[in-house]
Amino acid sequence: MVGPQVDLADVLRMLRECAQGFESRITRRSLQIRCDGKIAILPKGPGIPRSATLERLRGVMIHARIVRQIVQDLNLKTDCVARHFPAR
Amino acid sequence: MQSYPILFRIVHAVRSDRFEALVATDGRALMVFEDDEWWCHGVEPGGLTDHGDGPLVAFEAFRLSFRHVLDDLAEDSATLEDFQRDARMFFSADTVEESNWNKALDLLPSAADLDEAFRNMQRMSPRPSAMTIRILRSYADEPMPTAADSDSVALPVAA
Repeated sequence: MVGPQVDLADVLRMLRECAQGFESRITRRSLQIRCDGKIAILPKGPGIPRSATLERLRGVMIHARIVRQIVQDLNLKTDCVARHFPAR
Repeated sequence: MQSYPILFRIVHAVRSDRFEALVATDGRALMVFEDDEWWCHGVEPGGLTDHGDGPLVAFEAFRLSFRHVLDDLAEDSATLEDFQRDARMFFSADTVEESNWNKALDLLPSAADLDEAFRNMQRMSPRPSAMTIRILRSYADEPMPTAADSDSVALPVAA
């Protein structure tokens, strides 16, 4: 995969702080992120190993565009997100 | 950077140990070339994006992921009502991507100027997005299996 990458463990830390009522769980096929009546999904596959667990996501890199979509869909506060991922 | 608004229909059958259902989805997505790849960003469902070397590859990845999500939600749902609620919650629109989709529709070039992958794609008028869930079978009202139908273990009565 090309383009900017971010560590999924950092993404979840950001979501814990910025997303109200944030919950995440690993299912057989995806990482589900729920908050405030919305569900966003990160499919397992080339990006997230099928054996991934919530405790062992450090070092799993995902494309920043996927994070942008989640932030957008969950309608997160941009100042909170920017504290974790300052614009380059 | 050219963005292409697309309309899709995905029909998928899900099955859990409590029900079987057919999910028909009329949704929208935005196909964009970014970071040297094609991305298929969901409008409905808003919480999903996928990518690939070409637009069709990106859409196929998106479609496969969408189906996997429905399978996961069905397997995780304690009841059919839970599945319907979660599937509809997942299908809800991303308002930012919806605005991008509408802008891309206004700017959609004439057929001759489209990227080659889109040139022969069917054209249709925008229609409301919707998710229809048809119940094929529910196991909730079926009686519990009797002892004769299920596994068991017991000690024999001494003769």
